[in-house]
Amino acid sequence: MKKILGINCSSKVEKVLADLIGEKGQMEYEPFHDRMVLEGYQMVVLEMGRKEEQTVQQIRKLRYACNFQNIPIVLIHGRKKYFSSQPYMIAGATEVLSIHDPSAACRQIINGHLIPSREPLAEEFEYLEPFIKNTCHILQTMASIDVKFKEVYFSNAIRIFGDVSGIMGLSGNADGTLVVTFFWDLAKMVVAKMMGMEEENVDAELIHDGVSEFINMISGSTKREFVGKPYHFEISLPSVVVGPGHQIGHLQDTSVAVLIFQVGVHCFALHVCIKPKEHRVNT
Amino acid sequence: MDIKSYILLINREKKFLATIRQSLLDAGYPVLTTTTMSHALNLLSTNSIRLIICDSALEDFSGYEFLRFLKKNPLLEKIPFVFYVPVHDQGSAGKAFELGATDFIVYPLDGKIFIERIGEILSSSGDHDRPSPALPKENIEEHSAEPVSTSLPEKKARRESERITPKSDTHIEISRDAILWVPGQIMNINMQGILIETPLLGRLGMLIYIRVPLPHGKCVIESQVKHITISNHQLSADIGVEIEDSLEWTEVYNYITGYIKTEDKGKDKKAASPEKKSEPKKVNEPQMPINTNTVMLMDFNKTRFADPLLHNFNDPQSDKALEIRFYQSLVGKQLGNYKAVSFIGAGTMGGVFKGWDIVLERNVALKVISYKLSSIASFREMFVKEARFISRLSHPNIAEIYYIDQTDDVLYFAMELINGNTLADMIKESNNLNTSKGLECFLTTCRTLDFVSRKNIIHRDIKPENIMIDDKGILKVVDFGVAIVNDGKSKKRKSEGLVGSPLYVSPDCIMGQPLDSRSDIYSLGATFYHLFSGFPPFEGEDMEEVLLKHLNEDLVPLRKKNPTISVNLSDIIEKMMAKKPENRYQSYQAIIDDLDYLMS
Repeated sequence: MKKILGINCSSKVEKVLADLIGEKGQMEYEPFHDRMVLEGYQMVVLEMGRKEEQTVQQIRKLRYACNFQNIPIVLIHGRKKYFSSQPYMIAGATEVLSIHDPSAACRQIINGHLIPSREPLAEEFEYLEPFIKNTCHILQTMASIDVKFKEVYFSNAIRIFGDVSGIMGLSGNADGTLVVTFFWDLAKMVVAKMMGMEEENVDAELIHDGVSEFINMISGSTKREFVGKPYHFEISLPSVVVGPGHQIGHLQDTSVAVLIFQVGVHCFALHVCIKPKEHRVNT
Repeated sequence: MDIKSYILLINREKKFLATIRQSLLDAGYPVLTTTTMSHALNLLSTNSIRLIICDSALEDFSGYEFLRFLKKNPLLEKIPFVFYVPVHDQGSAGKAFELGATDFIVYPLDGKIFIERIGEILSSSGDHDRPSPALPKENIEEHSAEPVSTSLPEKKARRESERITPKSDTHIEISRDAILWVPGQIMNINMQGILIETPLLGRLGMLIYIRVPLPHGKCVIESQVKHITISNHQLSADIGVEIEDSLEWTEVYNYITGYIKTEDKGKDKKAASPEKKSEPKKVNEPQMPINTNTVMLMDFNKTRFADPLLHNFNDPQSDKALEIRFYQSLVGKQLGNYKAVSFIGAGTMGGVFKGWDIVLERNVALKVISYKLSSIASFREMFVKEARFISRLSHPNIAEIYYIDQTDDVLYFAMELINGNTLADMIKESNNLNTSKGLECFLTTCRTLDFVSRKNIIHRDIKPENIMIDDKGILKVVDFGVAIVNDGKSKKRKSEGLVGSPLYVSPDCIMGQPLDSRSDIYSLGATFYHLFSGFPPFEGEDMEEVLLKHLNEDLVPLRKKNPTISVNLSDIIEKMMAKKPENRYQSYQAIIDDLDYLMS
């Protein structure tokens, strides 16, 4: 039975959810608080509050609590008037559904998110393993940080929800994008250790340098391992972006592997989207 | 995100605060005010602050403690901090400068001198601009004790002649390597450069490419980062870039400034006459590069005709969006023995994914029925029927079906994955195809559809998107999603409404007449008309116009649009596209014979 956490849900929304989810999931309800624990839940459903900023903050906190795990956050509301869902999606919501949307659509969308993630294919492991190995190795040697590879899932997400991300565009035999994304605290810690400084002395420019160097090293070292293989890519200049919910122009018909790494209680994610050049496939 | 730069004014005397605030407002500076350090920190975390003006004693802490705290914070330490203290506190100036204060001003002081001094501080701290005449955030009441709306005095208006501030979103894209582009919004522009709000975090001196949508295409210009403000890591950064004089930049500058002016004018007009209909969007109008819904907005033609199939052509776009969201929710999931690797696109009856068969270890195309159709029993049946049709059509030029199943209420079938291009891709890429190669495709498609028609099946959606050529050069007819069996019961399809793609649909189908293979012959003629000429046979501003042209307008002979085409080929296509079915070829074999003759 899939565990679903309903947050701040009114009785009306609870009723709608009971109808949508039926016996496929086990609903638990809680009011929002700052120390939400989301471990063990397959989905979070948050009812939208009246104040946009408050809801946005709640979503951000829930996204932090997810710690990069693939837990869909579904925002549900009863508004009839049009409003932009962009602030909520940027903050970290996976879906914004209305109780007035066709229930068949809502049911299928929720169903879709509840279907278990797939395991990587053998051919995907072929290119993911070098990234995993090199990411751990670089952090160990450059910053003396012990990193554990935690899990991988596949997503089509174009948004990433870290506070700061280093992005590398890949070209050559294979196209794609590589993105490493951190929450601010871990980014500061990693950069401070990489540069041998106190964390309090790490400013925005150092974060920029550290994160761009990190993604540069991951892509550079992995690139060498792909020489002679279809995944061999060329790298360009790393870019660093800040703020949650920034959109990444991943390739359209290629899956994005999200590799989660653990550093103590913190996690960071490496998004790998890589595709050897080939023709399109049938629609 | 809407970041404006404010002056943060902190003083425990509310009356004094009000007076100073007014002077700053009159000079055109947006201001936030508070009486405590704790609230000031809140304001700092939620707003972009360009300057702090603080008293030596606040309601909760001293101004010096506040400054000490800020200097320890790497994100806030660079904001200029000015003490504005009563005359009896002037002895503390040394302490203030030691802590890192930018200036130490003592009051009472003439208001004019105070404002000039503030202006000097801002320009010497690298903030050369007069404040953008920004209104506070819409929801600023939630963050600020005293929201301030700036009225625009004469002085500010004068400054505006030097610097143009967009009053609405102006989106551009910026990149470090011209490969990866991230969105940016122009906050300010002058001939020397642009102030951009963007998530791209740069360094001073860094080379940044800016891509601007111009009417004739996108223009990329080089720039150099001269200024970065990041007041809160949860928000975007403000990057000021300097741009060297060039023809491209002048063009971009003129376009953006003209664009902004035009946009403003348009807004005024709209406000004045809200009932006035907006101008239809031209095809070559610049599209805003930031799309939240990439699948739906990528292909302009697709959006014009809300759906490639016209089952639901009156549906609101939100329904289509829900469908796409449903498909997106399945990416990275496993349906039975098949892994949904990536989403390819939305077809007639459902979404198509690149999949992997974990048992037979091979690539497949997974076709998932749309949520909307899956909730209607008759459509579920039609989906299953499609699978049955295709399984009956064992032919080298038709994609093979492997399996059909249902997992967690998701109905799908797995079929042969075709790596290759559609005729639509070829039209896009080379405008029109080399005639002999095109004729070969034409002939193969006719032979395939001849086979289909002999099984009494009508495809009903022949179009360039549904004819593929795989990477081995083999042509495949795909998407039998709306195919029907011509068993004499097809009269009842009238209630289904129009089925087909507007650019290629036959007049008999538009009129809801009983269909036979001659309807597919018309669509096939229209498809190859498009392929050989580079233009669809009938075009229009909207779907209705195109459909009416199919019914009433004479076809411009193919040879007129592409003089390199032979008269015979032009005639064949013209005959295929006759308005009345009885005037068309009556069978594919007749077309094949003519094509064979032509090719020989």
